[in-house]
Amino acid sequence: MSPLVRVVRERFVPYLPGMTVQTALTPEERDRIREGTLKAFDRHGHEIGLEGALSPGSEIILREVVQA
Amino acid sequence: MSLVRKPTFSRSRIPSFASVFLLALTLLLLLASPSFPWTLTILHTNDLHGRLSPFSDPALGPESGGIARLATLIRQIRQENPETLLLDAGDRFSGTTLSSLFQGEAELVFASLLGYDALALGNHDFDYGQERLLYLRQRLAHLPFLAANILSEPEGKPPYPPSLYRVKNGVRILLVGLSTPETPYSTRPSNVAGLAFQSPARSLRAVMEKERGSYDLLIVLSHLGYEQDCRLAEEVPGIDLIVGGHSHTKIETPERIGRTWIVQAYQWGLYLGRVDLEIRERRLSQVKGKLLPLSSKIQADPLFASLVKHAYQERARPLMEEVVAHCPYPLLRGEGETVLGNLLADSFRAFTGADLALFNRGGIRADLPSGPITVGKIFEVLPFSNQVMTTELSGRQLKVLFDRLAARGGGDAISGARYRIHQGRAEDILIGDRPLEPDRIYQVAANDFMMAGGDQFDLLRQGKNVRAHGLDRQALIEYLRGHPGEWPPRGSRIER
Repeated sequence: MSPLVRVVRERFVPYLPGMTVQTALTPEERDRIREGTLKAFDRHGHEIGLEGALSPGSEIILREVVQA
Repeated sequence: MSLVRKPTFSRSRIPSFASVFLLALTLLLLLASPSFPWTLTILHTNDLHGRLSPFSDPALGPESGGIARLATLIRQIRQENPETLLLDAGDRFSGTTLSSLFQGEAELVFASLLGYDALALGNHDFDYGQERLLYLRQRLAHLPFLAANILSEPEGKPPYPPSLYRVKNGVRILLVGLSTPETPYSTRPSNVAGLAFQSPARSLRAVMEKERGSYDLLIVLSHLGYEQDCRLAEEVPGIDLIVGGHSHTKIETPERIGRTWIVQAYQWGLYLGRVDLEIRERRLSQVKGKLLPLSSKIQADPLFASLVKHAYQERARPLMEEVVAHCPYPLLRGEGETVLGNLLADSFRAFTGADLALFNRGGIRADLPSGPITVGKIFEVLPFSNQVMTTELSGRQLKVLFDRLAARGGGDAISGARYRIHQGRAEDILIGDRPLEPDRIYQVAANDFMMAGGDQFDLLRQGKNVRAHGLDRQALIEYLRGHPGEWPPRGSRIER
């Protein structure tokens, strides 16, 4: 079985060499991150950019941005 | 008579010139290095991806980032502490109009003006090819790119220096560059032809072994990504600091794995990383660091701002207006098979040499009006900097893929193939002029979004030997230039 990238908790995307965060997300999620209403984080809680490279076993956690 | 016997010494007891010199040098460095604690400041960037002009960022606001703001902060910090090193962890190229139009020149001119002490080579730093990189390096020879894990084949020699030394306050700092071994899969194969990417950990150990005893601090410039940096810190003890990139990770304050500190400054020059290393008796005693936001509150350096505007933005305008083709009729998006979709799929196939190419209808973001097609118009049609990729699928797998295309109504473009939609399924599939062979392996090209299963192209995930070839825009521009006046006919590939 090929390595996977885990998006949030329910969705798994197979890992491809050279894969970036944006290729693992849906068009809606990509647009919302660009608009700033959603943010992507790694498993350690660091924010990650849309063009950030993934590695086998990476985890992307999506969080709503709460407007103050 | 008194006999005075001359003293005799065995040869081994006479200190050689070299050992006296080394002893003197060591004493000199010991004297030069203060015994009281002092601060070495590391300024770091990564994954700038051609962002030279300010742009809007949801978190930092409009007019954020930009090389001119970066220049202001770097100058201020250097004035505050002359014992400062400026480092970059790779991927200065690709991602903006200026980068594409000037093929990396602007990024390296500004890197040179900023006076980087060392830079790692990222996978996207090869996007304009090795010859271009070599040409730019020769013109800006003082830019110290480091790559300890890249070798030329078949000679097995490093084409870039693996490491270099910087001495601050008598402390010898060894800087080592590491590039991602996935580079051959994430840029066009011809861009890295003749290069072998070795194991980063093994290559680093080799440098450490060679330089053993000659350095006081070891700093690694890594274009491997945060997860790999953590692994490297665990596998190779003795690294003081890893300045990372590739994963575009926002590490707010330095993190520690074992005795190794890891930093990374997010992406696109939105932040300048700063780490203050307290040095006591030639050893790291304390570490403090943070990311400095480059919001519009930071004044732009006027010289850099003027250079970006006059040397590049104004020169870019005529390049964006450059006509690459003349279109006899409007190329419109729409339901079903379109000439625009066919043209894009054709450009992917020609760019990669694949047997067939696919283009998802949702990936086309603007129409092309009749008349001159400019570079600027192509940026409107394909604004997302998607990568063109290839994968290998069997004929049996392709049959399932074609059924999916048929079920979606045949609106996704294909090149190098034809099929008929009958009762929601694909029939009479031809690849080239020959019927689809179930056991044959075919090369299939598509963008990276589709390859990851986007737009329900899940089956592409099952492919093997996935490779990236370059940007979708580059593929289209090359195709239009190479095929003047050739427009794919509409309605010739999918029969209903």
